[in-house]
Amino acid sequence: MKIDEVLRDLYEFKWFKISAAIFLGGFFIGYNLGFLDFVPTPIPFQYLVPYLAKAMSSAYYPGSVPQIDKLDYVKYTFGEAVVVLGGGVLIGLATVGALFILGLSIGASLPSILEYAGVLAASQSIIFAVLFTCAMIFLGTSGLSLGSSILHIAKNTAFKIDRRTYDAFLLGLAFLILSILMELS
Amino acid sequence: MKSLNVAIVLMLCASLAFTTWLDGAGTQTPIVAVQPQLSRSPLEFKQISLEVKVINATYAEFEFSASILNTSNQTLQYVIEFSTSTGYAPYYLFAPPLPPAKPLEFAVEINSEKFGRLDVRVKGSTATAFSSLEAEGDDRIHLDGWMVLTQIRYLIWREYLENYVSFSFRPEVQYEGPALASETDLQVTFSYPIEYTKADEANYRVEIVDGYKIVRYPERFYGGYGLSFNLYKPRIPATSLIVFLALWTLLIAVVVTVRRRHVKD
Repeated sequence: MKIDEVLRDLYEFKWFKISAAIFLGGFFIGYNLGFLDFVPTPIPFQYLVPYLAKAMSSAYYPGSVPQIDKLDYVKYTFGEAVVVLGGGVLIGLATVGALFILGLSIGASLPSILEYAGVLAASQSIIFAVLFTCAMIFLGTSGLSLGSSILHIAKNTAFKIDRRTYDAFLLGLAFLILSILMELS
Repeated sequence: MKSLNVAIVLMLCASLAFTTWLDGAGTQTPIVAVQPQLSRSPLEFKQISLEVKVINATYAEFEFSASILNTSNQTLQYVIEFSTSTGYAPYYLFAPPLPPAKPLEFAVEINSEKFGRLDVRVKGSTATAFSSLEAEGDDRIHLDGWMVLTQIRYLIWREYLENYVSFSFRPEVQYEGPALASETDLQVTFSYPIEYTKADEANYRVEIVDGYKIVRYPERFYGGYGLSFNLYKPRIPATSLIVFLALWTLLIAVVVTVRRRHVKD
């Protein structure tokens, strides 16, 4: 099966649309709040994405020296991916919350990065944000689909998982690896 | 019934006796609070003036002058001290080791009308000079200096300048906390670039001269005085504004497209 067919199938998958809507909705709210100065101090949400928080906190607090090593970036990114995917076992509730908060975190961090970080740091942050967004949306699709399958069992119907759940998982994993490589570079 | 009446009378007597006993036990000898004798500072000040001019976001000049009188009947050694902001404390996302402190850039020159230029020692954010006054003698001190402004905080729509300077005069020995308030007023003249707004600007009459705002106001002098700058100016966030507009354009486009589909259906 070709990748374009997989993507087309996923585009039609309702859980992909729901996952993208939740994440991008959080991103939109976060970006607007950040841009309108409603997050003048680094709020905990931004710590969820320390790779972006590093650039953001140095903008708001010129004297700040974030002491995070690359291993922290990997730990956080991987941990969030696990929550988004594994949250499906709670009929997708944890996935929904994690997707929204991660979208909010990335959105709230970006305005200050665009304003104050240098061209290189801003470019790296944007590339990372795009890769991370793709990873979370695909893993979220997989998690929500898994949640739906678990709900089917609860309704005493047969347990079945849509093929696109696996595709979303594999694509999410690929983007996750790319975003981790971006953090390590 | 008779026994009940007897019991009630006994209980009433017992309760009255108990109350009386409690009152007696609760009586305490009054403690007379003695007002501590406040030692009046031997230093008195008059004709105090402070002029601070913020030239731009990174540089400020200041000038302080005061006449000092030694009210005691013995020669008094005293300290003149100037200190400035140390900058923002480093802010960490996770517990880290402290980085080396960035040295502050400022210079102070202190002149006494009696002794001429005083020797100024700088340590960290504080400059100190020592002088003396004979019994019931007086002197006039002039303090001039400049400083690089370090406390700048950025938001998306505002840029804040949050530095401060402080001046202090105190006896070298037997310093017993803050000196008593001087009756004399301190005349403060604070000027800053016109594009900035002082946080409490609305409380003052603001003059505009040569591109600078000037506020003048009297203050009480407590043997020391601290002046916070607390200025801000608006800024237009160019880069993030483009993304903001792009996001809203996209949202509107999506809403319009979806609505059109609904109309067709």
